[in-house]
Amino acid sequence: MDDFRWNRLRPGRLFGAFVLVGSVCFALSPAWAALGSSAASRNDDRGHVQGSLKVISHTLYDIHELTLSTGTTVREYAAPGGWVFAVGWDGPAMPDLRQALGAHYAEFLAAAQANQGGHHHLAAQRGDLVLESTGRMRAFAGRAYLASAVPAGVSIDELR
Amino acid sequence: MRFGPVMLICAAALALAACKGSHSSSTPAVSTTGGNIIAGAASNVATLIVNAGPGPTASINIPYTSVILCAPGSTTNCQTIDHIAVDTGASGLRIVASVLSPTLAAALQLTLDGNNNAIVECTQYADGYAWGPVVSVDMGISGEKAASLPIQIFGTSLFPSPPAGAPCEGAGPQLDTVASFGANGTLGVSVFAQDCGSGCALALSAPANPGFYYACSSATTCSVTTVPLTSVSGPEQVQNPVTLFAANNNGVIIEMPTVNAAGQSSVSGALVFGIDTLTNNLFGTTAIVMAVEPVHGYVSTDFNTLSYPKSSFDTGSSALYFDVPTTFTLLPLCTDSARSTLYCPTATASFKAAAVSATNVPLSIPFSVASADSLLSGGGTLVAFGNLAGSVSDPGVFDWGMPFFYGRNVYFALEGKLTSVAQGPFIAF
Repeated sequence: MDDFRWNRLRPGRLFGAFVLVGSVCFALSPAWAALGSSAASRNDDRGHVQGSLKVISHTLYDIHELTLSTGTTVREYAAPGGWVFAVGWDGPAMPDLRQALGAHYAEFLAAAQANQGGHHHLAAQRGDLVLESTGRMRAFAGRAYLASAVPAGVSIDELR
Repeated sequence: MRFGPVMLICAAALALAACKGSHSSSTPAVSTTGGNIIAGAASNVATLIVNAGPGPTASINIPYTSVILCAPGSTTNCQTIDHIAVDTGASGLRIVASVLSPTLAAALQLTLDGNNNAIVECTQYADGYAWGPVVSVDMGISGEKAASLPIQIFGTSLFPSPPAGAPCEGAGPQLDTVASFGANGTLGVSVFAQDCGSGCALALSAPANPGFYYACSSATTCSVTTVPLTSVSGPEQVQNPVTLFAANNNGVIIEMPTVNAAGQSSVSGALVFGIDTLTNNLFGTTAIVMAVEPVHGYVSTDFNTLSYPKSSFDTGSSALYFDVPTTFTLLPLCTDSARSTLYCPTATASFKAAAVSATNVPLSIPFSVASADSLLSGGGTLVAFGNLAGSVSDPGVFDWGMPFFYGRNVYFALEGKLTSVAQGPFIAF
């Protein structure tokens, strides 16, 4: 059904000359502390971080703010023990949610597959996990948090 | 000489626009719903229909149209494809590979860069991504044609998925079937001429190329690449087809009737091409021009004493999405976990917001929100709702999704294109 022809490619060229690039580029993705893991577990090998990390301290939590090479910003909300109870993001591209959500990525996949309302919004609560994602090419934003892990005194309005 | 009459019309119309936009106006503008005239069949009018869609799960508030795709230069190797989701929050045509006829698919050629690598795009959404090559087609819709239009085909076994580890993949599930996409394809008719825009044209050494385009030397060997906005000889970004029409190419009008408060199983309207180019797409005397922010297309919305600077008018969003503080008790979230971020007021609640841009006085927009639990209790029997709303994580976002469009004619003028009332990009209603 979907056999496009590579008419303008010379036979043999396709699988020969340009094989190396992908693996090199993608080794540069940043190391994050995922939702539900400890910020202390971060693999902070700067050679693997393409982007910048900034820590903003609040009374009840720290925000680890990572700016990715795509221009997108990811914020990890870490409780005093270092436990990441929420992540938020915004920018021109989606962040790699496999890294941001860690073990909870599977729940994002399941929620996305159940989404009926087009592809510009996703919102779901799955047990303790709240997932919100919005946007389109050029402008994305979202957050995910573990409701029971949000420290007492912290409003979800603060988690962006 | 031929520009003379056009300039005259523009001068008169600009004066009119300036009058409408005057801050000295004593009567605040109010955008009401209903009573709008919806264009009938014509060569620049495509039918829009909101229905449950082609997938196994009912789509909610998604307007669909049909397109005709032809192999470049052919008038016989053509295929009509229905259930194309019309999206004013995106630009360009994307088709699920499985709906293409074998004859047409075989005639489509990949777009190659100077190194004979195929240009493949990762189109990201809030709930997944579409991965597939950029190809050129001749597209027809109603009587309009866009020749040699770069589009994306996704879900093809030729490029089954992004290379392992590509950040693009982390946007959620791969959307590669009619069932997962909820449509046979999508047609983006936003105010922008390209899907990605200047970001994807930036050198990769510069920060903030979002990395949506890849150069692939094999089915799975791909790396992020730079693609210019347009090009006459090489790869270019996926284009909003309206820009390529011979005429009626300065924008579109989305025209929808009102829907019942309880919702409807189906409703039809019109996707009209051109603004003030024919007698069936006149700008009229009541619409208000709103200039948009040039990168994202935002205007600003004021609601409940708050300002939402990231405000857009988006047929690709099935509800009105805006955040209210947890203290705003008139719009409680639904308690059903399947709808826990939609609003469930105990009785239908009526509000007013105001849309603002650099060129207009606040334009009051009345809207209603009914309980999403009640509206959606039919399990997909009813799919068109004018009063469905939900929260969004970004407090700066006020997304006027599909419910806004019922009972209105909404103009989307393309960037860089002149209309009789103003230069695009702008939105008007």
